[in-house]
Amino acid sequence: MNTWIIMMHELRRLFRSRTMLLNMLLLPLVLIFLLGASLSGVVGAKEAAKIEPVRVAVVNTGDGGAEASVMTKAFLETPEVKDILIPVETGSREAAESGLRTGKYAYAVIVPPGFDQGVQRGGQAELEFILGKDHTGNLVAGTAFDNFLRELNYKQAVAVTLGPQALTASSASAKNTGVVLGELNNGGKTYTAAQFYAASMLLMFLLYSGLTVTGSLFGDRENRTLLRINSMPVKDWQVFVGKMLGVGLVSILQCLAIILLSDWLFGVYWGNRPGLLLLFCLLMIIASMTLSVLVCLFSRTSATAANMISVLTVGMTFISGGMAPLPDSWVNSVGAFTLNHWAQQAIIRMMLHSGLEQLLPNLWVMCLISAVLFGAVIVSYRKVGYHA
Amino acid sequence: MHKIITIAWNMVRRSIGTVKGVMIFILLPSVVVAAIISFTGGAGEEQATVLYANSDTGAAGKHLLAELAKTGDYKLEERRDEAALKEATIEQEGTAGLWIPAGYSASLMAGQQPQVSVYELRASESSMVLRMKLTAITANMAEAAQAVAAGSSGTGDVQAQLAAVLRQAEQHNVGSTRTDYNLYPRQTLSVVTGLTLMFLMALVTSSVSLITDDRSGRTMIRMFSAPVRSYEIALGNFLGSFLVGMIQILVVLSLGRWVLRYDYGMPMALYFLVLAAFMLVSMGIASTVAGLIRNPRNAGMLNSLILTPTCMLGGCFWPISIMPDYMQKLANFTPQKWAIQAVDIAATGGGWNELWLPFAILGLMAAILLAVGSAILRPNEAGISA
Repeated sequence: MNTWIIMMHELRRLFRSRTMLLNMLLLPLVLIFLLGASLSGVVGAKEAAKIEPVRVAVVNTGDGGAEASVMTKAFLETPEVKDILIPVETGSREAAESGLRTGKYAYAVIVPPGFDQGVQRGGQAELEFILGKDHTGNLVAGTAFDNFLRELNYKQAVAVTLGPQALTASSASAKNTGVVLGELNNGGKTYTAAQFYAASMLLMFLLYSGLTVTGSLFGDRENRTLLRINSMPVKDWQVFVGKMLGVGLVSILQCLAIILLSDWLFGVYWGNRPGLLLLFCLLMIIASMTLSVLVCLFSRTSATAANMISVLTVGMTFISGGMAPLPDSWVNSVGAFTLNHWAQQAIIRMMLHSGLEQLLPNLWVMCLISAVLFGAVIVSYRKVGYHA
Repeated sequence: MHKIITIAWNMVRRSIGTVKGVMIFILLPSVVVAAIISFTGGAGEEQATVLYANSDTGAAGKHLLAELAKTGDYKLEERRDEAALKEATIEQEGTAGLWIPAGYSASLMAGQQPQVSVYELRASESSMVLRMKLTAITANMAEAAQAVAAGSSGTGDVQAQLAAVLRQAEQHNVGSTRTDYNLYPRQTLSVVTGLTLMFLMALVTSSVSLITDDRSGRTMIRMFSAPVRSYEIALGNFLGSFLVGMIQILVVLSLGRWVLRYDYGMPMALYFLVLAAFMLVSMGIASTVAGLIRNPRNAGMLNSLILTPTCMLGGCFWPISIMPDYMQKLANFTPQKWAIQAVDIAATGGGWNELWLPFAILGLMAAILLAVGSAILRPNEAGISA
């Protein structure tokens, strides 16, 4: 009964706090939106963005004039290239280099004498590129020239092996892109990158429920209200369990709200096993709450405890690759030591409609982690206790 | 002035005057930031793993993989079939998975425009670049295949001819040499800067929380009973936490520069200046929030409500240029964007004629936020725990 009253009070206290609600409901949705909007629309956004034309220094090291490469000139005059590159004829290599250093040019191309002849003869022909100061400039100009050279290379290859007459035959080229983004899922809705980040943010916020635990455990202690509660006929463990139940309920509600709202607002698809999804979330809540109870029991001030929990939360989310893309080798080595890793993989598999047998290992690992942490909490609660 | 300095000095002593304070405020953050620098700084040079499964028996599939390997940007790993490839992609064993369907070369010859599939669990810069490269190579291969098909007009072994053409192309007789004088900023610099900014912001929050502790502990009211003015208390506190912040930046920077040997590619003094300006802005944010929220615990939470979204929007985690247009406009409101821009300009050798803009914006943000923050700090009121 006492536990019940304390739990109800805890719930009332949490729901009355506006910051709490903002943090628990608004923030995750904002983050899911930000991550989804900025990272999943990647390809479309790239095409919409206008590219600033890049100034390219072109150096003909031949005798100039008649010796200049007709091919490069023709390439630089095609309309698509004119939009992104501004060629500037430069007298010498030295002038181009100093121009690159001062930022006058963003890229330099050295055309050796006899480049055209080399290409036509089927022999060696190489342009020299000098990279400039600006990353995007290098990328834009480099890609344009690379495409130009690659096309020449294939044409030359065709001409060398089949004879030059083969080249004239190939004029109609396929304008259909040769690469598609494959479907990872086994049925269900199309998977998007937004789902990945929705899952990682959900888990991060379930970990953040640890902060609510510190607030709840230290708040009464620092206000000296715990002393008053202790003077009532209430047992220590009843207060403790009541508080934890309250926080746990709020976390469950938060988790449901995030899942449902992200589904309604942004159309995030959470997979075909809602029951199992909730089970994983529940295990995650248990793990994160017991972890923060352990931290709280062994730290003296709420500031230390809160700092440690924030560091743990952000650190684990980051290491498991939930915030920003990390190198591949990390995700499965160091990342495996985080709580997020196991739950996240399971949730993504559910989104992709994987079979149950692929989910079970993750489930057992999560169960094991929760059980170990739960046991640790019981042992340390007996040693330390919760009183003023 | 004397009073302000006294309060500031007291603030510095309280936060980093003890061994524990040095540990928490100086040592721990600099180790964390240094770890991030060494980790992300090294990560940029690592090759991205690309998983592949090739069911094509002809020359085209082999050629595609050979060309990818030749770029030197990818570590290719084979998987048995498409199912295994998908599975490995979901397990995040590689950045992306490349699936070349059976009969790819044959349908290429028949002019059917076959497609290879790329699997990815999430979008990243490297998987985007991979798709662009594949698109270019497949387009060229399709052209070559059409030339072969048209030229041979049904006679002879077209597959062998295609193989010969592609083998010839693999020689790269027409190619390029790249001369790299390392003029451009290191690619990792913006990531390193972004993460440093994030941690600085979090650190400032913790030193500003000392101020709110003073208020809720009613220390400020006692201070107020001494002959000091409200603005002197506010200024003293800000100056104190600014000094602590300076020391933090200095330690972090010198650890990265001289111990980890990370080359920032720009003058250290300038980098310090950018971080200091950003520090002022985040102090303004933290104190405004602290003034608005009376309960120090909630203040910390509200800060995280501001910190993570602005870091994402401001380009701390990924380049702003890959975001949609409207998001890029929104990013102008975050101090992180301007700090990163200042670092970018400085790293490409831009002078003050370009640098003044980000600094002016950061300065303006700091001035406004600090003014608001000190106005609503109201040291004469006790903290209300609500």
